[in-house]
Amino acid sequence: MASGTDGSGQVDSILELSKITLRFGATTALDDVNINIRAGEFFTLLGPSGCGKTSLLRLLAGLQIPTSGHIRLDGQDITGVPPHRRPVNTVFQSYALFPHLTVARNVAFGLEMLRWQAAAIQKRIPEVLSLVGLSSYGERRTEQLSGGQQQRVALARALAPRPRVLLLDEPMSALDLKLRKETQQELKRLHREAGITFVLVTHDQEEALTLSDRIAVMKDGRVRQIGSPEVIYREPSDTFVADFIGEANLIQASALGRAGVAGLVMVRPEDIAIAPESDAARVRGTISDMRFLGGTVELTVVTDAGNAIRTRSAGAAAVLNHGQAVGRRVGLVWPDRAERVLEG
Amino acid sequence: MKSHFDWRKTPGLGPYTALILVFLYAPLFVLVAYSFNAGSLVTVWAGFSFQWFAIAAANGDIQEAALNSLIVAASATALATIIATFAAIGLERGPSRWAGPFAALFALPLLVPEIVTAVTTLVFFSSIHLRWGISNLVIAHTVFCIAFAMMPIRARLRGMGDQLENAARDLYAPPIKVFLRVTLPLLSPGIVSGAVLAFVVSLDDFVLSAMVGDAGTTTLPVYVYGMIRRGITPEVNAASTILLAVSLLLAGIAQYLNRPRNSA
Ligand SMILES: Nc1ncnc2c1ncn2[C@@H]1O[C@H](COP(=O)(O)OP(=O)(O)OP(=O)(O)O)[C@@H](O)[C@H]1O
Ligand SMILES: [Mg+2]
Repeated sequence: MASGTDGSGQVDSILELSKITLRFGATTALDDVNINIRAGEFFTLLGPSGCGKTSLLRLLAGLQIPTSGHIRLDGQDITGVPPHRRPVNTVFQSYALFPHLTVARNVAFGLEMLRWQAAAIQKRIPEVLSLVGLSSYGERRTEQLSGGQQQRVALARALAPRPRVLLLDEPMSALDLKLRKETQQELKRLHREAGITFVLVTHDQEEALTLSDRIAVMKDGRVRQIGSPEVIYREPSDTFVADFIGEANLIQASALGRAGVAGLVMVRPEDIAIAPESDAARVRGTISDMRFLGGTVELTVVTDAGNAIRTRSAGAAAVLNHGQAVGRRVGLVWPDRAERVLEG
Repeated sequence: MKSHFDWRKTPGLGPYTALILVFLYAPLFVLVAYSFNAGSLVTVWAGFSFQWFAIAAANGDIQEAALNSLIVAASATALATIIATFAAIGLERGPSRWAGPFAALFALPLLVPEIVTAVTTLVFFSSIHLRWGISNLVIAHTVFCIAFAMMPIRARLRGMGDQLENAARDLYAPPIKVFLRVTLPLLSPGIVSGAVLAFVVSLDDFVLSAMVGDAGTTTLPVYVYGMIRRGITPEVNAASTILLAVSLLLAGIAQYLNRPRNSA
């Protein structure tokens, strides 16, 4: 539903951030950030450590006030509204479960603060606990739970009041790989079932690509690109995005003999095929390394111009004689649509 | 990373440490031991007996002094703990610009020699003609108890971090509810141990109580001091032993409540 071009989706945007800047003394954590998040979408803030993801999430939660700029929720300016008056809930990076309350009382906390009827609260608690698969854990103390279980309690607690927007700050970073994969599927399912707008923070590009409807790639407090995973992957706006999302070969246009083209040509490793040297190859070079990755084989080819280009394919092993690859001269080919010219 | 120097292997460390411990605790041990002396001398052991505890307990002056001590300690503790709690929250959660100077201000009573505090308090009270009897003593004690009570409270607040309070705010809790439902319950062990510390310090105080107190407001340490001047009997030891036992018990409780816990 949310592929295609981005930009000012004014019609159905639930959250609008315009010209957000946040400074801590001399540090600029966020610099002129403009984002529109659409109702019901799974939106991800992706970027390396320290790029301002948590700061942005704190602004949305109301735990921090921007130095300048405006935040609108459902068209209303909420820039200075305190957190307890925003229909927005957060799953914190460290979960922040109340250690003096049971699981059920943790889940009930937001509902009690909103003055829900006791009966409604008693009905809602098992509902959300079963949503996260913790039905029988209501009376446990949170300290007695595993990391994964604590994370699900944090999710249940944040979902219980049916917020307009759910904010998730690297909720899976403390989990091991297997649990992380499972939890990603869980999140996807919860997003579908709850019908709530999700804003996820992560520095894991694979996680972002798997889960999101749209991604904002950030660096040094600035948004570098906003778009669907396909757009971000296929049409990165600059070399940082190209390099941060997946793997990219960035080759000087001049090295490919492109007259009049400045900048770098980006080609993904999986789009490059090995061809005989004599063929009408785009570049020629020598295989310098071969890595067997199970389903695919990764080859590093050093071109005659001195660039190291990586290719990854399932078929490469068939083209080459087993184990004899390194040192062989080959040509590399790729279709026009696989390449993208980026500003240097 | 392996260092060749290990201070634990310093020659003679064991005996030296033992000597220091003896030096520190032998007087206390002797004092406690002689409170169980059957004879009436504090230097000659004449058998085991509880009689001096009975005599001390039956002494009307000791009773009055003990009651004064309890009243002063309890009142000063209550006031100091409340003030220290809010002060600690202000220092830890308020604007950091003011935290440094104010923290120093609150800690000052710990650094200023007590005799100076005592004299200035006495002069101050008489210059404003404050003659509230035992309340004078309560006010004086409250001031230095704040500094003691604040230490564990502040330490716990800092250890807690503001994550949980932020979570409560995020879950629709207005400031007052954040305080009552999250900050206060989580802070309570720190508050209790702060209170116990304040109580012990107040109970044991001598210089300030002797200076600021008058005839009707003699506290137990001040009374014990008076007894010594009239000649030492094991009654003094018994009174001191009781004071020591109460202090140790309370300090133990404070330690226990503030023990490090392995929660995330
Ligand atoms: N309270 C603060 N005071 C001063 N500087 C801060 C504060 N909070 C964040 N910063 C700075 O703002 C920048 C962005 O921090 P932020 O926590 O938002 O990064 P992040 O993208 O969440 O990083 P990570 O992936 O490591 O969690 C960093 O340079 C950080 O040092
Ligand atoms: Mg962060």
